[in-house]
Amino acid sequence: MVNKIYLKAVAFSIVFALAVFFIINQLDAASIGRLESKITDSQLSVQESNLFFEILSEASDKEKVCEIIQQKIDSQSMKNAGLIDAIDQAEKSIFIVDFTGLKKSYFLSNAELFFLIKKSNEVCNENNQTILYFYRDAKPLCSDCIVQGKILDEIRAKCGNVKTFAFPIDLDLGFVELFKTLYGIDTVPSMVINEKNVFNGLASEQEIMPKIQCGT
Amino acid sequence: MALKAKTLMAFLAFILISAIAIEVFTIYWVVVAITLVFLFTGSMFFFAYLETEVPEIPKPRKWPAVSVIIPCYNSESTINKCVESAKAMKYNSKVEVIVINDASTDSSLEILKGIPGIKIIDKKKNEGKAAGINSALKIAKGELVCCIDSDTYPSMDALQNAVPFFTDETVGAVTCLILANEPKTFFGHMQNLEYMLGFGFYQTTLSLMDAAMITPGPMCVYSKKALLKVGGYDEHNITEDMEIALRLQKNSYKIKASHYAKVYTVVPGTIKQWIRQRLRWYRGKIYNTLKYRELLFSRQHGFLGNFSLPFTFMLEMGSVFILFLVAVMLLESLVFVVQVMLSAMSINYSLALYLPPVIIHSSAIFFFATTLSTFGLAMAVSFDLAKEKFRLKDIPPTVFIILFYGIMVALMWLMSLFKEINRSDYTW
Repeated sequence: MVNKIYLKAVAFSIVFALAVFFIINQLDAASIGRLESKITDSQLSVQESNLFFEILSEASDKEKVCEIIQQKIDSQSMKNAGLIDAIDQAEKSIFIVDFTGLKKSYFLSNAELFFLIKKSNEVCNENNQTILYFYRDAKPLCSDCIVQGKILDEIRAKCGNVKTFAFPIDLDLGFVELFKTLYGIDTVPSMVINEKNVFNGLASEQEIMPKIQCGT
Repeated sequence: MALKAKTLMAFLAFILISAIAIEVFTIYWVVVAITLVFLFTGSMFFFAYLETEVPEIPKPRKWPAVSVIIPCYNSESTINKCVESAKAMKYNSKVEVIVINDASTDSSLEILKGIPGIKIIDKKKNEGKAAGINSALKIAKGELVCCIDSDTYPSMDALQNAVPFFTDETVGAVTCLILANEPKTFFGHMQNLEYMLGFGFYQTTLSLMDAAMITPGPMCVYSKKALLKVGGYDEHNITEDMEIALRLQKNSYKIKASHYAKVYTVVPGTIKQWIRQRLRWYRGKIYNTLKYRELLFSRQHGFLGNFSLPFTFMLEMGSVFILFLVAVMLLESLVFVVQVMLSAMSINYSLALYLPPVIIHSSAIFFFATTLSTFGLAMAVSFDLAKEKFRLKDIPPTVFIILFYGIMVALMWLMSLFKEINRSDYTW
């Protein structure tokens, strides 16, 4: 006969473990919730800016509206750049929850922002410089991507008008696949600067700088 | 002793298994699995503790005569106080004190000769503690023998509070609550807490389950009949106090614990001494667990065979495994850091030292919730059993134990395991 202490201990262990996992799940869900609301903010901001473009066509003071749109773009691209680090951190520390959906909606929103900037450059004649940056998210770990990311951070710090959009190539995102075929991307890290200059492989600051018009 | 090929192989095997475990399950699930073993073991202790009432000191029918045996080797600094405290113990019947001078090269013998009322066995050749006790057993008159280390000072009522636990013929030994003697340093204080935990909650509960794994060397009372019947101490064992405990139980004797009998032992004052002590203890534990592997999961040995021996062993090896996992993780990070530095160099980009972000994974909550609640409860019970109060000054060593002591102990287990695999020479 199995001693009842064993049974009690097994039962208690299960209950304790489940209780702790429940708490972990709640905490994880809370932090995911915070990220989700930030992503929603980003989506709303893009939507709102698109709305401004609608207004723009009827507005008398076009410059004023363009200025508002540019302000929104600046602040949102800043927020989005920070958000990806937060998502990465959360994904690495969260236990059971699947992150794919969350990440997809983030990258989609980031892509929308990219097209918004494109539109702003065309319609408002803004001098936003765009860098599409492709990296690998999962294993094998990409050491070049770390370096490339740092270089892009530095360029962004120097030139306020440079907007970077980082996209993982291994997340099965439809539009990323489209970008890849469009620009002939075949490796990581790789970059498309202002939609024409393509860098396949790690590129130094000296190589990138001539391709962009650095401004504030 | 040189590193043997099989030790190296074992080491590489550990690394390989850790790497595979990380790759297949991720480190988090491996830690969760090990934590589940922690949790189950902790729960076992608590249910065993709750199930059985901690006994009051029984009322003995008789007070048998006791022979106190103190083996002494180069203990000039402690032997006087040790013998004096042993002599000063209150006891309702006859007590004789036998001290074995194990060919000390210091002034121990002179000190002993100055103490009246003790028998001295003066050995000309150093033969070790176990042999000393065995030779004293031959002349001991008491029905019970109380073995005390020469660096241990029993409290006045230690014997009086231990002997009543010999309630019947099947009790082979009664262990005491061992604490650190006058812990003044932080390190000493920490060990005191560790002893209180080990001999308070854990040893008491194990004895309630009849599953004690050790009759600790500093002080333990044995039935002389039982000791002689099982053949006395093993003279070639590095932890003879664990060996004898297992052998007594293998021969169907029980080990009881009296947390009422407090004794104070001198604990290592330096890390170096501590490492030596732990390597001896833990190598002894590994060696003796394997020596008595027939007890593992054997039906007639109850909780000893089914629970305490296998599960503590699993946890100890689990802690070694966690160290390996962490080491492999760190190694992987290190390799990646080097790769990052190299790719920065390849384009002449001056990158200040790249450090991967530190991530606290949420599975750590499970690990800490389990270990902290087990630790906290065990501490609370231990303080209660030792009739001590948790004071403000206990907080820093407690925090240190929680944060670092586990890692130190796990490291000692790792070293012990590989020294044992390597069959390196034993050092005392």
